[in-house]
Amino acid sequence: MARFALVALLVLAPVAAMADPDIGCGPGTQIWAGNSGVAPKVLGATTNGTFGLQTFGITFGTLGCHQGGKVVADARVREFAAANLDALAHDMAQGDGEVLSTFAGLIGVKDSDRAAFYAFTQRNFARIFATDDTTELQVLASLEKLMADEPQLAVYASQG
Amino acid sequence: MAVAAAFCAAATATAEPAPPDLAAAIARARAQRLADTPMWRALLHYHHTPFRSGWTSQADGPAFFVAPDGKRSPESELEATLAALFADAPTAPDAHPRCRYPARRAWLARELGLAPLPEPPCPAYDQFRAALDPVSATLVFAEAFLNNPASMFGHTLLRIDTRRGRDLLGFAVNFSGATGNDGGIVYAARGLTGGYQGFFAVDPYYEKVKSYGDWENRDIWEYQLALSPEELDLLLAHLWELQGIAFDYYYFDENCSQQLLALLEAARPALREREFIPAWVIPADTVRAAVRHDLVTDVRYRPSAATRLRDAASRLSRDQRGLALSVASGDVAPDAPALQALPPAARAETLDVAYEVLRYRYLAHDVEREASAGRARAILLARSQAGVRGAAPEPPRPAWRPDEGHDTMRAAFAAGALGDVPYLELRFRPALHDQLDPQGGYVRGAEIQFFDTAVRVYPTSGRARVQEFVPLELVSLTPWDSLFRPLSFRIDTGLRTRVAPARHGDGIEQASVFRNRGGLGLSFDLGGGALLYALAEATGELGAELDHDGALGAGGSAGILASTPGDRWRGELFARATRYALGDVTTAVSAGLAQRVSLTHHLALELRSSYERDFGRGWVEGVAGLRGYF
Repeated sequence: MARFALVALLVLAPVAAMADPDIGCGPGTQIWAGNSGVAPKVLGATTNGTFGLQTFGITFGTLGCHQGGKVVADARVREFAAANLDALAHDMAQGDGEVLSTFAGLIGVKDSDRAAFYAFTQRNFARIFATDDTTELQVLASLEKLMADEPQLAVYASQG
Repeated sequence: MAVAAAFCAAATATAEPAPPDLAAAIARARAQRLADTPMWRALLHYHHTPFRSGWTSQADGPAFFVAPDGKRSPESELEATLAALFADAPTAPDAHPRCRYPARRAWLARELGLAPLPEPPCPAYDQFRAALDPVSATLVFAEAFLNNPASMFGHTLLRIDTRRGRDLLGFAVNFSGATGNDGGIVYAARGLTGGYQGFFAVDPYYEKVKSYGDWENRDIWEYQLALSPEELDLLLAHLWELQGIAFDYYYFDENCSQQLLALLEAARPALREREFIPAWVIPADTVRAAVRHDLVTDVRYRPSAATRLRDAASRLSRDQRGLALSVASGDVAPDAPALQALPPAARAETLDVAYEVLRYRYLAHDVEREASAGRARAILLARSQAGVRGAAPEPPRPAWRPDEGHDTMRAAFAAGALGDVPYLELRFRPALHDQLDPQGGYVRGAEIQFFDTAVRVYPTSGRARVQEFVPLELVSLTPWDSLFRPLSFRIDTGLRTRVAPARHGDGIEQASVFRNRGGLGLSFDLGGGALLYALAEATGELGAELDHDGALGAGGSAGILASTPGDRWRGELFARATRYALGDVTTAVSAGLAQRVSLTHHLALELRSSYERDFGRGWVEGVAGLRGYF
C-alpha cells in the first residue's frame, strides 16, 4: 500500500498542482453581492466540501433575524436568496426558471398565483434589483414592499 | 435484495415474545448470529481489510463504537450495543445510547422482537428528524471534472427530499475529505495516504448544484431511489449515527462513493455485492449497483450552466450570437439600437445568453466583479423590459446515462507484429476510459486511464516483457469555440517501451523507459461528433538502456477522432513527433490509425496499425485484438 501510494503520489502531484483551490469557495462566486450578513456565514461553512463539517449544517430556520415582515424574516428564504442571487436575478428578469419557482414555493406562493408572481417580478425587476450592489436582504425587503401593493400577492408579504 | 428480504422476514417470523432481559436478548442475538448479518456489517461499516483477517470497521471515531474492541469485533460491539440500549442510567438529554444509535436500536428491536424500551429525551435527534422528514431519496451523480484530481472520476451524493423541501431544497448528504486549503502535492500526498479525515455532511442541495453545475460545469444526473418508508427511516437513523464520525479518507479506497454505498447499505444491505480489497469504488459503479438492484425509479438530467449556455447559444443566429458576446464583454450596451431592432423574443434570448456568458466569465475569473456587476444589472434590466416571459428551453438529454456507459474495468487480448516479429499481448486496465472506448455515458473528450498494464509474449523467442505500466494517463480534449475557450491537455506517466535498432546486427531491441509527458493545445469540433486536436508536448524519459540514462525532448501530437453515428465504430488518426535534444539525442516520429468496433455492450474489436521511426530506422506495427469491459 505504501509503495502504491508513493507511485500514485508521484503520478498525481502534477495533476493535483493543476487543481484550482479557489474554485467555488467563499466570496467572489456571485456577481450580485449576496455574500454578507448572517446567512452567508452559515453558507460559507457548507460550501464545496472543503471544510469537512463536524456537524451537519442543517438550518432549522431559527437564525433569529426577525426584523421586517414574513419574507425577510424566514431564514431559509434568506439563505436561498443569498446563495442563488445571480440565478434569481436572471429568473426574475425573464419571469421564469427553477430558482424563481423554488423561491416562490419557499415564500408560499400558491400554484394559482405563480404566473402572476413571475410576471410581477419581471415587471418590477428594476425596483427589486435597484442597484449594482443589491444584497439579498434588499431584494427581499423590496419584494415585501412591492408585493404589499399588489392585490393578488399582498397576502404573501403581509403576514408576520 | 430478495435474499435480504427473505432473511429479515424469516428472522422476524421466528422471533418469539420479547425477551425479558438483556441476557436473554444477547442469547437470542447469538442464536440468530446477528453479528454475522449483512445489516450489522452495514450499520457498523465492517469490511475486510488487507493484511488482516476478520472484519474491521472503516469508522474511526471512538464515539461510533460502544465496545472498546468494537472496531474489530462485530460480536462484542453488538453485545455492548445491546447492553447500552438496555441501560436505564439517567442521562442528560441526547446522551442516552438510544438517542445516539437509533438505527441500531430499531433494527435490533425488530430482529429480536424486543418490547418497547423506555424513551429517553432525544431533542436533538427529534429536531433532526423533523427537519429531515423524508419522502424520498435520490442518488446524485456529478460527471467527471478533469481539472480537479478529487473529481476526475465523477462524484456521487445522496439527496433527501423532505416534506419541507424537494429538488433544489432537498438535503444533500455528502461524504468528503476535510482537506482544508491544502492543494497540489500536499493534497495528493495526504489524500493518498489517509492523511485526511472524511465526514458526512448535510447541506442544502442547491449548494451542490451550484458548486458542481454552475462553478465546475459538470452535468448532474439524479437517480430517484425506490426506498420504502421503513428503509428511508433506517437510512436517516443511520445518518444520525454517522454525524461527526470520522473516517480515514483515502483518495482511492475509503472514498466518497464507497462511503455513500455504505450508507445506502443501511437501507438495502444486499447492495454490497462483493468485497473489494481495497474497496475501490468508482462513482458510476455506485449508480450501476443501484440500477442493478432495481432501486432506481426515475432518472433526471440536470445540465450544467455551461451545457445550458452552449445549447441556448446554438439556438441563436450568427448575428445574435455575436451581439450576445459583444453585450457580455461590454462593447455593446444592452439597450443599443442593434438590440432594440430585434423582435422582443429574439432580443430576450440574446440578452439571456449575454447574461450567462458574463456569469460564466465571472466564475472563470475572466472578469472582475467591479466590471461585471453594473453590466449584469443593465443586461437583466433590458431583458426584463423585453417582456417576453420564459427561460431558455431545456437542453436535450444525452442519449446515454452515466450508468449506461461501458463498465469500469477493461481487459484485452491481442495479436500483432512489430516489423516481422509476432507477439501476443495481454492488457488490463482497472479504470476508466480512453478516447477510443465507447463514448456513451462518459464526458466527451475526457480520458482517464489508471494503471493500464500490458504484457507481451514473443512466441519466436519465448520471451515476455512488460510492455507498458502506466499509472496515469489523463487527456482532456474540449473543443474551442467563440463562447468557451478551453485549453486541451494531456498528462501521462509510466513505464513504456521504446523500440531501437539493435546495436549488433540489423534486428531491433526494446528498451524500457520511465516516461513523463505533458501537452497543451487546442481541439476543434469538426461536426458530426468528430474532433481535431493538436498539442505541443514536452517529454522526459529515464531508462538504463538509453545513452546518458535518459532523454529530454519537445514536440507535438495531432489527430482526428471520429465515430459512426451510434458509435459502433470509432477511429483515431494520429501523428506525433518528438525531438529528443538532451540525453539520448534522436527524433522519434509515429503515425497511424487506431480503430474500435463494438460487438456487444461488453465486447469490442480493436485494430491498430502504425509506422514508427526512431534512432534513424522505421518499423511498421499492426495489432488486432478483443477488449472486454466488466
